Amino acid sequence: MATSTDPEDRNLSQRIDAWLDEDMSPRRAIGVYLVLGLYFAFLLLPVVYMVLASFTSQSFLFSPELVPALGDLTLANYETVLSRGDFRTYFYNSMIVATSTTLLVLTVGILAGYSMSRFDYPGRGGLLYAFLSTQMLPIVLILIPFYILMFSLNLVDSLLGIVIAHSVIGIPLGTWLLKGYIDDIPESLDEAAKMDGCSHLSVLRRVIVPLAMPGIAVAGFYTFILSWNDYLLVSVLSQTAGTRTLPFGLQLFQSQNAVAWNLLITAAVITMAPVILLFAVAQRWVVEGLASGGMKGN
Amino acid sequence: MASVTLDNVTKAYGDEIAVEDMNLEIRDGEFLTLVGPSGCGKSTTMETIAGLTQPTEGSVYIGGRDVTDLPPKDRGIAMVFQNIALFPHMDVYDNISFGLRLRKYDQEEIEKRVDRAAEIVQLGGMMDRMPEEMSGGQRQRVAIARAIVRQPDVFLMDEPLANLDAELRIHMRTQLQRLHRELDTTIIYVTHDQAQAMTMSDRVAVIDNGHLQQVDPPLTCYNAPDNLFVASFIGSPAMNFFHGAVTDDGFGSEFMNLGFDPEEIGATPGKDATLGIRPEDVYLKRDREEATVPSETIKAHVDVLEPMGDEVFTYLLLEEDVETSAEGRGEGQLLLSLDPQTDIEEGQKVEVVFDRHEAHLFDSASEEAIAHSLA
Repeated sequence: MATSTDPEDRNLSQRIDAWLDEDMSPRRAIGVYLVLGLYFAFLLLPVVYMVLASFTSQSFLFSPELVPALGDLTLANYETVLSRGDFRTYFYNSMIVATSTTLLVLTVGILAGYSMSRFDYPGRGGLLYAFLSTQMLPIVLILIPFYILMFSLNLVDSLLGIVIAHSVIGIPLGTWLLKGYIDDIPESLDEAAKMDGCSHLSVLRRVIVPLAMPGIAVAGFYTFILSWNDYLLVSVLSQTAGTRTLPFGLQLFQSQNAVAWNLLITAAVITMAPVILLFAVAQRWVVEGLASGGMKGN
Repeated sequence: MASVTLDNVTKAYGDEIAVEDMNLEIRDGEFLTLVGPSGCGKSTTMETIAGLTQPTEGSVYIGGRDVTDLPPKDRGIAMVFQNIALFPHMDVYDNISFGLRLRKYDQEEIEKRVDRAAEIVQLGGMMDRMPEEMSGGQRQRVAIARAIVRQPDVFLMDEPLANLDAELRIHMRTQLQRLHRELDTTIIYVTHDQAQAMTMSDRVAVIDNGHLQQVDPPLTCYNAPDNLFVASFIGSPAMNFFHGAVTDDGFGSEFMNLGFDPEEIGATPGKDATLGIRPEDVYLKRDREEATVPSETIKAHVDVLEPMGDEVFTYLLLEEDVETSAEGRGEGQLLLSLDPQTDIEEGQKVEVVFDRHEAHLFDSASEEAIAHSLA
């Protein structure tokens, strides 16, 4: 036996294990929740404070109190922020860009992932690694050549250009992720569907897509966030206020000399909200997807 | 209902030839089993019939129609897969009706057919279950219902019972035979399990190395195997073999000699030959009258006894110092089947005879059978 019964001989991890006893013991639960509680407090308290602060005035933010009284809460910040036309434009732009990017990446990713998983053709392996290699370079490195390319295609300062730029980043990872997912779906399901009367495309629609939903949700969610949060590419490709996205909206509330903290925080909350909402909708699949090892490559 | 014909079908994957020049005619309404060891090409043959893979050369006909270039859905076939392959995101009703819904049957017709199929495989009352909520046997029945609901001309079954436990497998075996009788459809069945092949089929097609070895009713394959492979593959436990040569007055080998007139059975003296005797055709000397034509006495001693309940497999060594190998029975070993009440013990010296009427002689070089009785 590897484990000794003599307490002196046991190392720390064995003693912790023994203390925690079985999986379902209350002691273990307390231990686990304590650690998780600290972790989430660290992560979430600033967010909670931010949401609270968005409902208070600038003067409250600089007062010594930390938690506002109920009577001090106000929607004035939201009114101010949302009534700004440029902020609204940025919001719509962000929605259009992130949604289009997600749809484009998912369409290409599902088709490419299915093809790479199910069909054998010359260059398939090379293509997979070519996709992967694009993830190895920092975006900053390709920024200037990419700008020149977009310029020559007349796509600078257009939402389409930004969608394409974000898709360039999103498609390789989305394809890899979905290929891994589709690999896990037994091929005999395809064959059974074909036997029952499906073409390749209807196999995809009726069998592969429903079964790859967790992977599709993860890929879609990831792409949406990537596009929604991007600052770098937009800063280069967008030249006028008409094509800016939300991360730029935060700049509207700071000038060289003053920062309207209450408005800035409110804009940040508005920027954050759609992502949280999307996660709430998609989490059913996303959690399942993350848990079932969707990142399986090759 | 339809016949299926394979005409000079060859399937190669790169340099690897899975099936070579296969000619096979499956009759209308027949239950034909493709049997052989893993990797022999039986699944490739079935996939070729199904249209899941294209033959490199040759043609496939179903019901007299050349279907070589048709997709699976247009061939009038249905298939049951080894891993069952139910759609996990659909309930039983949706699984069974999937093909009909794709083909845009009207709702009433779909319901009628699904009910009928569910009735045949005894799945009543389970229509809204999901596959994950069902046992292996129930899932297999759904898979069969999904196949029969389309009323195909030909059923293809690729090791449908392989993933079931032993008891359920035997139960499903009888179910499938009943199904065949009821539907009267051509069934092509793939298995590596010769017990399934023997019990269910009208005819068995034994395949090895991508080549058809013999196509005959099960008992013909058993009693008159065309070659050494079929002789060793069909029957459990396998046949005893003795490697030797045809002599002027019979067969001679290190451990066993047998007198007969070579000319009479068409054997050429001097040629290498193999003698095959099934375990149940070997008898203790005291039971010799059970053999139709008993051979001369063979002296041996008992090596190992394997009581199976209804019989005892008795392994004999024909000489004291015979080398036993882990790779099955070697030269100089003989297996016979004894009554479970036998008084024979391990280590005991015995005398045995075999039934010459049931002895098989094969040409060692070509592996083809020369004679199936040396009486």
